[in-house]
Amino acid sequence: MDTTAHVHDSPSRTPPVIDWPAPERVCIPLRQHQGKAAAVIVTIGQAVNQGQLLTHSDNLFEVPVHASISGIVDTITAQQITLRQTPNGDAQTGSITRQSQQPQGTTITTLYNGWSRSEYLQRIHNAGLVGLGGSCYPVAAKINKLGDKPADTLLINAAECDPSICCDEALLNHSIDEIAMGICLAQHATQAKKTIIGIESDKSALGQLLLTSVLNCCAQQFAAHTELQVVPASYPNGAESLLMSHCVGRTLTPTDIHESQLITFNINTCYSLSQALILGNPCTHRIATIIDSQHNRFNLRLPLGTPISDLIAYYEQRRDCTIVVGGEMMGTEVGLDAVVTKASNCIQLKYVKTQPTVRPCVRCSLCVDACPVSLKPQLLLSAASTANYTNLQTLNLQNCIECTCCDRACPSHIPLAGIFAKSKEQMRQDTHARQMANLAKARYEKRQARLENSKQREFKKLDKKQSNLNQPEKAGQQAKRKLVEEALQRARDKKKNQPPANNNTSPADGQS
Amino acid sequence: MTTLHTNTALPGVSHLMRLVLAALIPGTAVFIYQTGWGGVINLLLAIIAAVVFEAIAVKLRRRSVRTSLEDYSAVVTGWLIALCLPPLLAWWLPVLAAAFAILLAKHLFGGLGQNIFNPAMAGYALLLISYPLDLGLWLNTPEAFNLSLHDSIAIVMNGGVKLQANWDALTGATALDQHRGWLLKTLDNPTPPGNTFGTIGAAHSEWANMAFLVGGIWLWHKRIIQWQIPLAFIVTLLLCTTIGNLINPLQAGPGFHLFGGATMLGAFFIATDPVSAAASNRARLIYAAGAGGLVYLIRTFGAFPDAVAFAILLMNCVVPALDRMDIWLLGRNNEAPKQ
Ligand code: SF4
Ligand code: SF4
Repeated sequence: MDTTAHVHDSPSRTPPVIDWPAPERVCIPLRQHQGKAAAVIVTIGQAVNQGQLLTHSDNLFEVPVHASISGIVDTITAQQITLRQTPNGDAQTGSITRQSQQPQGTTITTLYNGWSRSEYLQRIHNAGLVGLGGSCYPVAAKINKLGDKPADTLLINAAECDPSICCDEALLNHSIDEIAMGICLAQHATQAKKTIIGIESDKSALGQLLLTSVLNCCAQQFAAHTELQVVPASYPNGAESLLMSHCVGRTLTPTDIHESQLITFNINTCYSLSQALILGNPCTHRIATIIDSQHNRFNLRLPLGTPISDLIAYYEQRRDCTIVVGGEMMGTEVGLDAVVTKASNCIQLKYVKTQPTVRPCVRCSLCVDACPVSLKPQLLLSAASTANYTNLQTLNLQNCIECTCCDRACPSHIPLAGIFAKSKEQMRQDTHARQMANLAKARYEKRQARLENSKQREFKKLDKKQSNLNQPEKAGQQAKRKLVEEALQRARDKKKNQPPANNNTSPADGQS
Repeated sequence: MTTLHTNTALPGVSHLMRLVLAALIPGTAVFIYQTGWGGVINLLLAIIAAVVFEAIAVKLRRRSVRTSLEDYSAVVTGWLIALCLPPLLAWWLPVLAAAFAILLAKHLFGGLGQNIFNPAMAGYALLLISYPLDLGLWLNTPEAFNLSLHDSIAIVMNGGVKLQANWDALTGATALDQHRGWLLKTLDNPTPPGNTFGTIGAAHSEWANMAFLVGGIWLWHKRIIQWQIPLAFIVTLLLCTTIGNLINPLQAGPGFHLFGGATMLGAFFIATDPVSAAASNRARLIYAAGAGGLVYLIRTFGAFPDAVAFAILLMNCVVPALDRMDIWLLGRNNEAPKQ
């Protein structure tokens, strides 16, 4: 690609992206995103091609997965589908032909101009796209969150989310034009009023290239509102809320972003977006940084579902190493049977080191100074240890981006970010439980009120009935009285006509 | 390459404590120079006792003895106690202080990180209240410095300097004591006793204070302590003493107070103990300013040889309230923009 020439002048130590060959077996988890798994639509023994849908759902939060190699469906469980290559099968390299098929800028414009947002959503959803920066939030759901309105700001996150990861940079070196096209597609899909490419200061040259490339292929109405923002190259500026805050110039919390018309895409996501929408290649691979136990780094384009043990077998002498998925700061240890998923932006292979002793908090406040979003981890910790949800709320636990900066600062080596993640979950459950309780209470009260009401109504009805009953009675009585009076009148009239001797019997006559 | 927001390899608690000990060295050197073998014996007694009691307490609480001894917090506690005590005390006084500090003030509250009171000051305060006479006796004659190790040990093992026949010749009250004693009975004697003032501060303790100041500034430079506590402490004391001195010129001026008694030790090493200090910077300013003001009040109107211990212990009581205030203020700030 023509970009390689430019890349030479940025003294990059980033290893290039290498395609990992299709493994013998892949084990594809059904849930590689935030949300539920979609329904399986293949059967055991069925032959599938690379890129074929394995699951399907119309719910945007149930992102489908695709076969990352061509082969035969081996097993299906509630969690995963295993595929194996056919013994005589053509040795798929796993790489999709890319560069050669690249359409020109003009063709793309015609290609995507016509689609409506729902068409975009459908295509994006069916391509299995999720946020590849690590969040794994379904892309279609993210766009759908905007409703029918255009996005205020579309942020393209080109900042590495962790200091040890370099797959974003490698991708920029590798396929800057595809990313640019992905950005253009994202602009169309979100109808962004403004597009900002956020990149760290040490990659600003690459950022400039990316901007140029975007301006080359994007539509006129977006080009005028597309800009580059360079942020300081310090962890955790790659975090969505921080990068967004930097770029829009005011402090935003994750909740703010969730509730506003701001939207962020990682450049990895943009790359997959152009792959999926232009070439029709769904999300079957992802680029990840591999760090071996000698701290060598590699950027690999891995078929999803590749067993990490394959990587260990290739890169390590011994099999008993520990796998950490995620970067140096936020990585979590996983079991030896783990596979590559859409979330694996970095895979670290290391031999177990002794963990530092965890001591009690000495209230030194070093964590408070370290927190990039100005929380008070020290007070959060004490509130978390007593499960004091009111205080946790006051201390803005929900704004914690779990960046582990506080962990690193803590002289007592307390795993603060982990504790906060747990507390968040507990707090969510607690809030949920409380909401449920409130709902139940409201329901109960409503029911009581309803019962009371109907009782009242019953009473009123009874009253009315009684009064209704009374009235006809009165009317009857009146009628009777009238009758009686008439009869009396007649009797009197009779009396007048008759002799007074019959006087005594007259009332009886009158009554009859 | 992205750099980390914070320093990656920040050291652990034991490293911090070791740095605190290192920062104590200049002051300790002056202390030993001034107190001779008596000071050395106090240091050894208090530190060894603190470590032994820590081990016992941790064992009783079924925790890892090694982990808790490795954090050096017991050493710091013992060391700080010894720096407050006059030399040639009966051997069991430093041991008693260390026992009280570690067993009651620290582990009864839940060990490292849980104690409300600064353990070292709690131990020292116990002695101040129970044995005020012993603690008022500081060696201040040349003979005292020349006591040999052998003689010093003999005195310590035999009930301390108080029981020596010639103790009057060896010891005297501290400059602070003398000054206050004189201040409260000023009418008898128009000028303060001649040996109260040194060059800039109180006689004898000014150099130790200077040394602690140097150590403290180094500690701040190393970012082990923040400036809020020492500065608020010193500035408040400075203001109080200046005003006091202006209103009543008979009261000693700021120089005497800042470089007398345990001011600098308190400001940089005791009030800054993170466990018993307030959590946020705002609360710390209040905490340290309160301690500084109390030091002035107790020194001028109280009846104890030094005020730093009580001032800090009293402010320790306020810390939970200050921490609550913080959360409350935060809650109010959160609500403010929404209205
Ligand atoms: S993990 Fe720690 S440093 Fe990072 S945002 Fe949360 S509280 Fe702050
Ligand atoms: S850094 Fe660790 S020990 Fe210090 S206050 Fe924070 S949680 Fe406590």
